[in-house]
Amino acid sequence: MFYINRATVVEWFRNRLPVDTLMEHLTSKQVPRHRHSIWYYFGGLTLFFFIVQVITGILLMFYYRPTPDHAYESILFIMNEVRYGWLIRSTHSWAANLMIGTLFIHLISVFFMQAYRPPREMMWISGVVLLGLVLGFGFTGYLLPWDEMAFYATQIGTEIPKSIPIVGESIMVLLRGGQEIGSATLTRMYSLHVVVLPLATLLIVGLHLFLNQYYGVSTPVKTTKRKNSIQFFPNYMLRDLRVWLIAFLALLSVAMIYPWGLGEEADILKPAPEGIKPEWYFLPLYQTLKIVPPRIWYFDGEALVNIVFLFGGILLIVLPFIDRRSRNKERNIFIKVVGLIILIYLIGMTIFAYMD
Amino acid sequence: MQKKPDRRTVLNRILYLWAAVTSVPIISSIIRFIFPPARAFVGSKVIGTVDEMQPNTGKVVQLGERPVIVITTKDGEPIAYGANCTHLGCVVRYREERGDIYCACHGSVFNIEGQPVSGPASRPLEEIPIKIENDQVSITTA
Repeated sequence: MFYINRATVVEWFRNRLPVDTLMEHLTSKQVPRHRHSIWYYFGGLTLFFFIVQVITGILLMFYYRPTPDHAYESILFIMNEVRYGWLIRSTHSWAANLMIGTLFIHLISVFFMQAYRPPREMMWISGVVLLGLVLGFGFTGYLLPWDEMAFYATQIGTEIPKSIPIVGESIMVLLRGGQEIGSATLTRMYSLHVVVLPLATLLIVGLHLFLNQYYGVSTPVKTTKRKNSIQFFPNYMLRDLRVWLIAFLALLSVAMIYPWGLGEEADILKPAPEGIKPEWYFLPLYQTLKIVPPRIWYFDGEALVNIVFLFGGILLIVLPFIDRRSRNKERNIFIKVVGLIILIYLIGMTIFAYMD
Repeated sequence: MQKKPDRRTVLNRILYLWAAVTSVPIISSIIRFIFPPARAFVGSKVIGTVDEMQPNTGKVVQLGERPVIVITTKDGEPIAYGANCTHLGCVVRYREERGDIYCACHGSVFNIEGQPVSGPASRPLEEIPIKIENDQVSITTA
């Protein structure tokens, strides 16, 4: 009789996979403990919601059809006829928003802890790129249900770059697949959402996590560490998993109690309905565009807002190279105050947009 | 005196140069591929008879791929504009009670001549030629 010894199988794998080296690294890695340690969980939470997105997204792809004639109908089918379809879609939509929320918190905490200082500049840059990719996921995914809100959000979103001098019109045509929103836009957004952005995200997440393992977790400038830091494996990982479990239960609860809705089907001839607004993470830009006058001095107001936001994004990427104080492990109050003012502006504009 | 590069170095340089030169048309083709070819609609569309055009009303119709707003003024004169707001492209509507054109997305208001009067839009709506022939009202591409 053919008999396999368990120890032999384990040994076979140990000889062929670098398990021992990996375990040695994981058990030797320490996570510092101090009064700001709680913020460390938000990076892991973002990763958790991304995993949820991948799983639920693949499931939705089984039924979703990316054409204007069938997109809305297929979402209705998923929600009303496929068993647990409503829950899968609701989980996907809620997790998308929670992922963006935790990513913002993670980025803000890294900013205020000055964790972007050397040698972690590449971690910061990859993180900001991931923020861009995640916002791209939000934008491309929003059109897919092909309902009224989705249609107008994409109409506005793809029109925004048009005011950028020289390249604006080309960017708009590139995003839409033509001059108007239509089937070409839907297939473009779909392929970006399910192929291009996931591949790019996997690549950058891989780099981000590798750097995280390589350099370890940063301690904020001039923060006193408690003597007993935590071993990454298994202690910190188990704590992380406990937070993931809480997040999973919270996600399922909101997805079930407040199932994600679907508006009326998009109609390209129907005038924009009253009170139309994009998703919450685009509200600061939306509200700024709404209140800015058509002309500021000699400049087009809309183009100026776009250029300022674009410049803000570039500044965010190059932050580690601007903040010279952090290189010497000193607190930079000026950068923190500027960051705080921008944060208050963004939150204020979001609240203003909701109340407007 | 500078050392003469050996055969391997020269071959490597040729290979790199060849790869660089080849990559230019490949990348250029990919970029050209993802930009869709321009397919501008040229033509006209009958939108109704003169009798059907009720004064002080507006409706949005499709001309090619784009929406066009056709308004019959209080005097019964039909006029047409591209229905996309010149601010961020939402489809506008005619407000009978005020006799103006309104975009609900950011609150831009245009007068009956298509000129912006309030809100963030700074450019006028694009005028679409309108024709009346044998009692038929039609719009055409500019």
